[in-house]
Amino acid sequence: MDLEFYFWEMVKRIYLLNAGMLLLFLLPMKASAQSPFKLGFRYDYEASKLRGHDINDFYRSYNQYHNGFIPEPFDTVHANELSHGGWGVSIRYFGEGTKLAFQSGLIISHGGKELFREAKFQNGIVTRTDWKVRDLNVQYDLGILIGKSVTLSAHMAGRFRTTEIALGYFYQDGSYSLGNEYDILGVYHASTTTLDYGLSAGLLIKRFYLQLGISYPSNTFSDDGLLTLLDYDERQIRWLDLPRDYKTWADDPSNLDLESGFVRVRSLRSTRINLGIEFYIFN
Amino acid sequence: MTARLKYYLLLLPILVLSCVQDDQVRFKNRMEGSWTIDETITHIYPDGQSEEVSSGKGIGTLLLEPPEFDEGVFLDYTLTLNNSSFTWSKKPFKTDEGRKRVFFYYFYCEELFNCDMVATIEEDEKSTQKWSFYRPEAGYHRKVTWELTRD
Repeated sequence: MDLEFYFWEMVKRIYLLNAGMLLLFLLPMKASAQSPFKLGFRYDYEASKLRGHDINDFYRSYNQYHNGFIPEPFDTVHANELSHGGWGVSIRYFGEGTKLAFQSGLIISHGGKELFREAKFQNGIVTRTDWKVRDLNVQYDLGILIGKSVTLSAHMAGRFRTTEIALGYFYQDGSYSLGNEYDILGVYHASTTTLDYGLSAGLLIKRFYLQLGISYPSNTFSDDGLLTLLDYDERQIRWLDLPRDYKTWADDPSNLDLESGFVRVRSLRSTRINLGIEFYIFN
Repeated sequence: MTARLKYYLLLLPILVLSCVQDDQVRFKNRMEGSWTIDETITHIYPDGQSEEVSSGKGIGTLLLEPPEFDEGVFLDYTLTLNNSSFTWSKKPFKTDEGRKRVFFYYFYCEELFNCDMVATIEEDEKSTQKWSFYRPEAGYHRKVTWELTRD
C-alpha cells in the first residue's frame, strides 16, 4: 500500500515539475505584446456526478446489519456531493486570424472536497466516516477561435483522484478512536485515475478567459482496485478493503464475493461540468 | 507588475510543492529521541460516564531511533515500562499518512500476527505527544492514554 501511495505521489510531483519546466520554456515568449501565447492562473468550479454507488452500498448494508441497534443510521452520499472548486495554471495559444483561427491550451488544476457521515448506535457509540477527496486534472484543449473571442474545443484530460476515508468511533464520553480494537476501524485509501474526454466553449475578454466544459471518464487507465486500508496492522483477520457487503464481511468474511463484495476504486469516477475563469499574467 | 515578480509568482507554488516533505517523514524526524511516558487508564461506560482507574507519572520511557537499514518512514522503538517485566527492543514504529495514528508493530507478542497496537494521536507537538489506545471489555471500553514528554 505504501508503495502505491509513493507511486502516485511521485506521479503528482513529476507533473508539477513538468509544469514548472514548461512555464520556464514559455517565459521568453511573453516579451511581445502581440504574442499569441497567454499564461496565467485559473480558478475552476467542478460540478461532478459520481458514476458508481459502491460506497452507498457500504452505508446501506452497515445500516441494515445493525438494524434495531442504530437509531441514527448513516445517510448516503449524494451523487453530486463531491463537487468542488480548484486552483491551477493555464497556458494557451490563440491564433492570429480575425474570423477563424486555431487555438489550444494546457490546464493544470487541483481541488478537493471534505465531508463526513455519522451513524449513532443505541449504546451511544458513533461511527464516523471522514472523507477527503483530492483531484488533480491535466487537460489539453484543441479547437477553434471565432472572431478573436469565442472558442470551441475538444479536450482530453488525465484525472488523478485520491480518496481517503477515515472510519473511526466516538465512544460515549466523546473519545475518538482510529485504532485497531475493531476490524472496521482505519483509514481507507483509493487512487482513481481516468482519461477523460470532453467538449468546451470559452470567451476571451482582454486578460480574462471564461470556459465551460463537460468531461466524461473513459475506462482507459481505470483499474479494478479497491478502497484499501492505508496503513493496516497485522491484527486484521478480515479483509483490508472497505466492504460493499458489510453483512458477509462481518459474519462470514471468507465468503465475500471478490468481484462485487468491496467498494471499488472505479466507482469513484465522475462525470463533470467545469466552469473556469483564467487571468493571464502574460497577455 | 515587473517581469521578475511575475516569474516568481508563477514558480513559487510549484517550487514550494516540490520541496515539501510528506507528513510521515516529518513526523519521523520530530519523534526521533527519548520520551518519558505519563499514563492514564480510563473506563468508558455505555451511559457516557467515564472513570479514571489509574494514572502515573514517568511510568516508562520510549526510545525512537532510526533503523539500521530503512530510510523510509519507520523508526525503531524500544519501550521500557516500569510495571512490566517485558522490554520491547528495536521493533518497527511509524505514523500513518495523515498523521492521525501511530503504529507499534509486534507490540503484544513476538509473533507475526495478532499483536500490533494502533494508537490515535490526540496531540502532536514538538516536545509533547498524547496518544490513546482502546480495548473492549465486558460492559465498558478501556482507554489508555500516554502523554509523552521529550527527555
